[in-house]
Amino acid sequence: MRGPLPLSDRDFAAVRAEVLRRIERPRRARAAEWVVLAASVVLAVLSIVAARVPAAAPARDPHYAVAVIPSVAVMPSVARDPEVRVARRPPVRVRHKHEPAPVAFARMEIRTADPDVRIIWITN
Amino acid sequence: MMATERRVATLAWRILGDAEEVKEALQETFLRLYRHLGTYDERQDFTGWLYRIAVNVCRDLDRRRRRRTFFGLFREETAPPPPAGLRIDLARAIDALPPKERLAILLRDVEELSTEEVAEILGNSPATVRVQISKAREKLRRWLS
Repeated sequence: MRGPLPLSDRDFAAVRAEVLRRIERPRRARAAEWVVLAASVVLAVLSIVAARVPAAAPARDPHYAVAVIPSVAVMPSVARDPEVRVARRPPVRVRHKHEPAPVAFARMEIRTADPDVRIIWITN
Repeated sequence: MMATERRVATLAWRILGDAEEVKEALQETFLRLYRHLGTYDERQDFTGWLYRIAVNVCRDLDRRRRRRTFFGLFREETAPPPPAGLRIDLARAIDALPPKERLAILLRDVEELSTEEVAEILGNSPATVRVQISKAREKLRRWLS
């Protein structure tokens, strides 16, 4: 009706080769897509984690302050001024005969880089 | 496999009439066959299923070609009859048929499939296919006489 089919064996072979190539290509592309997707997910998770972690305070040496509670006077356990802790000599006091020997104990307070964290060490 | 290739190519040639489009149709048919192999029901006839894919591919290519041409933009569903008084061959006459009638007559009278097979391939009822074939034959008779 139209005449014979104008395709040769070579044309059919070329069509077959192209079909196979296009079948193979999506498989490789799909594997690459999975790798890219996985990498994107990892990056996204890391970004979220990094955004949530508070910015670290500038590194400073921990501030050590030692407050020695004197053996004769009872020092309050809470400093009057929590921001400033300075080691100082206890005032000299005259002891009377009937006064019991005071218990000596030491209180060491260490302030760290984080202002909310303080290490208080009390020992006798 | 090669015999199947040739059958599909011959069908595409009769529908499309262009060698490059036939190669494209052949490629696309076998790609779709591969992609939809999982949906193939073994109870149905494989050739009929393959033909259905091939016909749909040819329809898509034909539609795309018609859209590309300026005349195709204003083309009505029923193509105008070929000029009277001119001697035309059967292929051109069939080309002038509306797409649905053209496919029906190609599959029924040229590919020699049964009406039921044609109906299944085209996704129509056998009664609709009979009506389409009848109209197509009437037009061809008129044009070729």
